[in-house]
Amino acid sequence: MTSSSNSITKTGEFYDQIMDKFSKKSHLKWVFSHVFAHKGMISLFFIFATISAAIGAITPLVLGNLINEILAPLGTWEKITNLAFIILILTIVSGLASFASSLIIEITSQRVERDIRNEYYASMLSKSMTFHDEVKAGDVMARATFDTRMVNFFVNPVIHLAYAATFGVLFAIGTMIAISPYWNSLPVLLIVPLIITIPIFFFARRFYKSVGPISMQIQQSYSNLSSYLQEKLLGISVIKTFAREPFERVSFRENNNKLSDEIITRGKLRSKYYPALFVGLGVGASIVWGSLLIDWGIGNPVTYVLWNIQSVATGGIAVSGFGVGDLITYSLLAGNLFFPVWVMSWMLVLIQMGFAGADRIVKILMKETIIPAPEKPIALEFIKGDVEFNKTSFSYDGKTNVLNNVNFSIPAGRRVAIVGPAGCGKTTLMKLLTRLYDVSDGSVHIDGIDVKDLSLDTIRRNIGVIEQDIVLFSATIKENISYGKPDASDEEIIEAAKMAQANEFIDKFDKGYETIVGERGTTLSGGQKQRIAIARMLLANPKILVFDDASSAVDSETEDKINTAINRVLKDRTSFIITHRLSTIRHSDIIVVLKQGEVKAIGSHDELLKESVDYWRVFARFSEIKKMMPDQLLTELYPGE
Amino acid sequence: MGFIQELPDERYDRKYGDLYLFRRLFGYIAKHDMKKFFKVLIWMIIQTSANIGIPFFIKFVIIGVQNGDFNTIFYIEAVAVIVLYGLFWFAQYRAIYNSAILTGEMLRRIRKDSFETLLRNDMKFYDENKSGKLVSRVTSDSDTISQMVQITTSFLINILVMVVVIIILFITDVRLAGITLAVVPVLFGLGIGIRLFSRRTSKNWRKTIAILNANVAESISGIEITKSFNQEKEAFERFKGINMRNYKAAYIRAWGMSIFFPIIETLFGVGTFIVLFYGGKITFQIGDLSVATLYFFILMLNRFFMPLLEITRFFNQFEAGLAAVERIFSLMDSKPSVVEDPNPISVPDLSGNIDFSKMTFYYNPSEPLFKEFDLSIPAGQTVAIVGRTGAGKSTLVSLLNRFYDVVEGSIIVDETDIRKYVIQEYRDQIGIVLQDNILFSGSIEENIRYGKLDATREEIETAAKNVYAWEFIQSLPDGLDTEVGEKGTKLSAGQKQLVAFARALLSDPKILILDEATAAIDAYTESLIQEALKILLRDRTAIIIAHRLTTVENADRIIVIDDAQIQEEGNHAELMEKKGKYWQLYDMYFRHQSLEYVEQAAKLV
Repeated sequence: MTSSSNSITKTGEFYDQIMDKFSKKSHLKWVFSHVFAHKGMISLFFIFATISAAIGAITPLVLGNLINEILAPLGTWEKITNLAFIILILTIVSGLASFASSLIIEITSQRVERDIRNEYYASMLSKSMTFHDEVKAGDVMARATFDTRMVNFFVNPVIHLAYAATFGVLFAIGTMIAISPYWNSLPVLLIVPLIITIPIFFFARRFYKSVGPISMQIQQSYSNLSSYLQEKLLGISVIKTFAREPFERVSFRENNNKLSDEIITRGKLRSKYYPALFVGLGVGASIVWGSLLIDWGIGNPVTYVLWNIQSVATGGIAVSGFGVGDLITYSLLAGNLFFPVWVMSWMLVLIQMGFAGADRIVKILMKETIIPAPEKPIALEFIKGDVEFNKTSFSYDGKTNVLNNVNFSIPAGRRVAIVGPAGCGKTTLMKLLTRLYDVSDGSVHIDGIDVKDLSLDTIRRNIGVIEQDIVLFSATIKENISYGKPDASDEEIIEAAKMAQANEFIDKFDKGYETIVGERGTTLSGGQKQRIAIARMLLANPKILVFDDASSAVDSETEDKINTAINRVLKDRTSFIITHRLSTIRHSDIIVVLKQGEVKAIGSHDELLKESVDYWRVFARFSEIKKMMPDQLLTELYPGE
Repeated sequence: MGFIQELPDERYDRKYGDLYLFRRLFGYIAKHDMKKFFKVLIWMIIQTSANIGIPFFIKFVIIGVQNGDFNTIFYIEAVAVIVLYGLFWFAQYRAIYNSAILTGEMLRRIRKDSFETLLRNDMKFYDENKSGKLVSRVTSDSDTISQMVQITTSFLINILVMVVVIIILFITDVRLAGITLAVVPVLFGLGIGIRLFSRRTSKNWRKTIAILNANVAESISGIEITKSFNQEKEAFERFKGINMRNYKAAYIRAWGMSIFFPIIETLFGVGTFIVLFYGGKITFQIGDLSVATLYFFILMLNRFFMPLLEITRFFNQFEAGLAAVERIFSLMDSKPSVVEDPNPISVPDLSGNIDFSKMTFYYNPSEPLFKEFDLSIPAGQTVAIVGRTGAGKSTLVSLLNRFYDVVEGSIIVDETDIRKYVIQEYRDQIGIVLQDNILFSGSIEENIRYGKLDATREEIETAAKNVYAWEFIQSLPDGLDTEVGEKGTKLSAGQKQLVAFARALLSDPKILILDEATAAIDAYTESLIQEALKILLRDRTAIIIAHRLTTVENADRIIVIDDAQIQEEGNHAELMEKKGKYWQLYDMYFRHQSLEYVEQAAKLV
């Protein structure tokens, strides 16, 4: 109702612009389209991160110069002071830049997470019930929380560190080149970092290949263990009743051992591939290598002092060439490589998990489970309420027919009871009427129009459903009743509650209509929930009513109240009731007897008692009725007697 | 949907002192993992010693270079730097390796011990503790504990390192050490301050995240309502608001998170500056300090600041860790009140004589539920118990199953007090079907098999057929292999009852308790089950609690309970004749199930 006709055809039940904003061609494109939605922030981050990386490499250079200056025979105190102050300023600027870049990237990552959540939520709203029945709620939840988090981690710390590390390495190597003496036009200082880089890459690859998968396994085992616990602790009474403690002890141990073993394996792998070894050795090696260079008297073309055997021979100390200061700069720069290598192992895992998370999210976003909207939907403001099932068949999986050639029509305003044993297809039949599912064969008509041609909005607005498991939200009773009509006045709400016979018990609560109910609020009995649901439905005022009623263990007074409420509600509406409540079935205009997906009998109470064994079963408990039963049915039912 | 705006703060009462918990934790480690712990400790000490040793050799190298003494000793010293780095890495590798094993094994043990405690605990414990919180104790609290060891060990080592480094710094040069360490209080104060700020903002943020997640969860479970009422747009707006609140909390949190390292880095830079400026001045103007010493000083300073950083982090983690330690130990310390007799009697095949003898029971001493209650049920009898809501009918069932122990008197089954029996063997012979039955995720077959683990598929089929569950099972595409979903949510209430019924019957109990067992089953199937029960209850003692008139009518004997006392007993006809309590109850609970009522229900408006 809020979107253009174009988007309806694409999305069916709900649409928001955010659903089209990000590319979903692949999970990589999706992630980057989320990141680059914040171009300004990302550019700022790049600037600040570059500054702080550059300073990280310049500072050792200045420090080396300062030390050279101290050692130089011609060094002046002013120059030393200046250099010391430059270091101080660089430090402060670098601190500010790194603060700015961290802050910016963290905020960006939070924005990305926020957008993903909005996109995800909107997409979940747009999906049809087929989708929601198919997927596990826990799975939808996991993607909304854990996987979204993983994508957030991809922005910060992954992009953050990857950028800082890459530029840290580049600047360190650049600076090394700048101070490097040349031998046969080779920058000799680079030999050490080059030698250590090759094994690091080798190790990092192995690490990536082995630790990534096991991290995901651990995640899986962890969630298995906690859902196992969650379930078994909720069902502890079952375990105790059947004395299954030994069995559960074994299952828990299996779960727990798997997780613990995996955690230990990962820990071992991590420690083994701890690649800082080479960098640490690199720092040591750079010191030895630098000393060797000085020993050999290799000069530095950049500082205009060439390799000069004579100067070595005469002075012995290459103070103004590659000297002690440069040696220190060199070893500090080698130390700068520490951090990137150290974070690499960790980052690789996060990248893997971030992409896996993105993949899972995109997959669920892309799932096409949208009820195809009609090309020219017929929108009706009001409907009369004629309903017809025309040779309707339905199957969830395309193999077993849950409903088979169901064929009947109901004139507007009639009260219809659908009876039959568990699993006969009662609830499914009703889901075809509200078009939560589409028929496999045949058709369903409302007011003579195929539901496939009606706009979804018309159907949902005109059909009210009270489900078997009544869901109330964690909100006040008032908010729950006015759910279908958020702008309802207090009077209307109270009126609806009175009609539904709910007013009385609501008033008994301390906070009355402001009482919080639902999972996190006051616990209501089944009968109370049902009456709130009836009030909620009344306020929405649909023409057709589907009432899937499960509760039957109530006392007579409650039964009176519910019956009263039902009688009031059903007036002037076409209604379908699935119930065990005999008083409700008894007074329905039309009763449909379903068995194994087929209509066994249809008619009024009196008619069916005469002709349907299956219907008779429902009332079998009453000896009075047994007397009314035709002999032919009696022999069919009790062949032995 | 997605209304949730607030979540209450989780309150938590401390029962134990910090020191006690700490001692206990290390006692726990000492008991099982002493060797592993010392391995970690030793490698950590080697690691830090190597790390501290490195600057000494670098100093020698610089002095050597400065003096141009490129002799053998110089190269030995130079290579020693590489060797020390190697040792540093190797020790670190071993420390991490061993602590991975230590943490993993600890985790395994803590989880195992916690779960053992959970299995041992009685129903009273579960009434008082929400399962969600118990789960997080076994999963995340144990995680935190296993990290505690590492955190504390490295804390202690860091303190040691700092002391050693300070001594080295002062020995090297008192003037420089004095000036440089002046930044330490500032650094430490700032570090702690920022951590505190971060902790507060993080707490806030976590709260908004919890609200957000609760919202998503509720929205998903209620999506059908949202669709039915066409409320998608409103739901989305509400969600966006909550999502925005989370973002704002994250924004504030980002400041505290991002400022820590830059500030520390800057202060470290300032320390370096001080060393260079004053050290440079001393070296240059006074000349009694060498460049090598200056550099040595900078390197040592680095080895001082790093532990300092770690220490500021320690306090937060330690506090959270101790809270987790307390939760775990208080879980492990909980004592069930239902415990097996020290010399339990093995349970023979019960015949099913039940005798409640002068039994007194209450959950809460001020509200006694049963007082000197007497009831005996001979083997093989089917007894229906009726009474008002809250009359204690279901409690009777829990007591018989020994979920709780009687306060006074006793329950005697087959001439033996049930408290003398081996609990598991005893419960094995009792079957219960409830109104809300819990199924476990897995297939229908697996759920029925829970009643008898080694049952064949035929036995399972028979059990399902006996309670008329077969028809609906067959109608499912995967039949017996259909997954029932978490808590059985993929089945309807009636279907769950049928599966639970089959499960209970498969275990072939001598005593069968049906507590509103057919309440959610349709009238059609119920009438079939009633007939089946006549055969199934043969040779079993059955206790039936029901709101269905027909179920009660068919019982051998009806017991009317009110005020926790037996008010009347007899069969239906006798009791109706009496016009006493049963007759009154009948009007209250069963009237609407009579044909008479059914016939005139249409008049209620």
